[in-house]
Amino acid sequence: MRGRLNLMWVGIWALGTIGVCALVWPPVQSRAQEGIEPEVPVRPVFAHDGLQMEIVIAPDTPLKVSDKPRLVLTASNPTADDVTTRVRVQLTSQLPASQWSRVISLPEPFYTTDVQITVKAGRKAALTIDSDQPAPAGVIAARLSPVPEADTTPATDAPNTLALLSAGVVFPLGSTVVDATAVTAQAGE
Amino acid sequence: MRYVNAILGVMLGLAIVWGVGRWVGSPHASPSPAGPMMAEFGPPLRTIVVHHVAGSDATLSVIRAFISHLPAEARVCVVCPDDASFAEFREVVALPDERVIPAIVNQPITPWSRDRWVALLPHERGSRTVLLHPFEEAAADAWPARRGDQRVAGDLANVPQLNCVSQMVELRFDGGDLMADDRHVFVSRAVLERNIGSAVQDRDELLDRLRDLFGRTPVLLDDGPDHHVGMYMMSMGQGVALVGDPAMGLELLGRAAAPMDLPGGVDASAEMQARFDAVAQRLKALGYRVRRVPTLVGAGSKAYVTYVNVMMDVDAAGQRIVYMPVYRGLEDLNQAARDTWAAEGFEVRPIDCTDVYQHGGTLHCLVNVTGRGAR
Repeated sequence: MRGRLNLMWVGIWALGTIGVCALVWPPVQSRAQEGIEPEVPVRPVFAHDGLQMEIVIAPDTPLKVSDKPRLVLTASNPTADDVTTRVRVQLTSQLPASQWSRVISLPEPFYTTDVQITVKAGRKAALTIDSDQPAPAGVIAARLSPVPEADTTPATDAPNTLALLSAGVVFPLGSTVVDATAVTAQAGE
Repeated sequence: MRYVNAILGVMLGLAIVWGVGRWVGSPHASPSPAGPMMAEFGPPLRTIVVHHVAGSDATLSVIRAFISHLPAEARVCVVCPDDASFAEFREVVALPDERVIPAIVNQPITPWSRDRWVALLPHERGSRTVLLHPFEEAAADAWPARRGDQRVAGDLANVPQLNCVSQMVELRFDGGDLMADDRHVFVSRAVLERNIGSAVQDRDELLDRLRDLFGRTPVLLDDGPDHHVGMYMMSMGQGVALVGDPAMGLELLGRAAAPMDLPGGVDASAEMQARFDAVAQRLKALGYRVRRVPTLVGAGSKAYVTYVNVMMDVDAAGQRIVYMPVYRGLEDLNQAARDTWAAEGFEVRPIDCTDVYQHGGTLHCLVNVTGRGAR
């Protein structure tokens, strides 16, 4: 064998190279594609006062129309200091205006509250928030935003359309409608 | 000699990886090379894309009126959810077979083709147009037609006559959130709203990403109205931009009743006016000569009576043409808008959008473009 081209060893090296390539290539970030299904979206994060916050629907309490949503606000503290902060949580719903609509409606707030959360240095903390308002039909989202310092008035659910869109981070929570019939019925068509 | 075996083996392995990657479309490959985003004006319209869903009479009447004006060389790709929708389209819209490119996608879709993707020009002569689309449509989980819309760009990439590829990006946007001219890509506030904290960390990162993707300088209209860009402004070319003006619309409306189907009546608030004015100021600061046209905005809705939601074309003699929405019962506003376009040298061809605008869009929103160029 010595001194000759050995096809078996060439094949072993080739297979090894293919294996290494498969292992070391990074996860897919973006792709040129034709008809590939969408990837799992990146989850938003609200960064505030050094905390990284997320909000989701509480496990075991699925989002349903007319039910009062239960939410879990999670905050992690990567800093070396304990942090206490306040944050405004606003729940909104949106619906397509009709079966033929081009756009979804402006987000309509249905529950707003200000909460305070304390997280020790390097730790995580979670806070459960119970809405006192039932979820309407539609696409439900939560907006986390700072509580304005000069804001002495309590948080309200007043529709504030344009102002609503100006601050914070939106967390899609899901939908209380599941098919076109429901959408059309809610739109009054 | 064993080193020779190893070297040959590694080379063979790399060659196989490279070849397989190319053959399967390589999920690890970099995005398709593409030129900048297609501008709203330029060479003649060559291939347009419209959607039709059986029963959507209001949108079909607009599409039919627009297509009836197009020159015989322009081709129309018709995306339909099923055969029945396509048959209805063919029955209503008179077009010879050679000008129709069917795309039956077998999934629910909306009638609005503009918002599904944006076209990036081929990066070199002979290469394919790239249809850039978001990784998810807004409200897709509650709106089955939007779920289907998510897949339309991929469906179109499989239509050989279009010579396109689709490319998904990790941004949330509607196609209507973006509009390009020969210098800029104008971006609605919704793109900022939907991507900060998730796809990008901050405004600067978003602008960098948009510049890379669209090959033009991004202009973020974050003080503008909460709607798609083409509902409140249009770059007409030659450094001129048109921006809606609610006060002008109200003045021309006079004592006449607001259109019966404008949901919620007319928004006459100073806040809404300020948002349109902010867009005009921004464009002036960029060096555009800005003209204003009347507009009416539905209070608390996205129904706009707009004269900037147009399609622009140019004929063989170089005459610029604009297909402009008009509305029955609003003749004073129609005429003012018509005069504005004509004063900039456009031949104005009105398209009646009376029955469709209350759904949140008009002509431009119903028509997308994959090809402009010599016919």
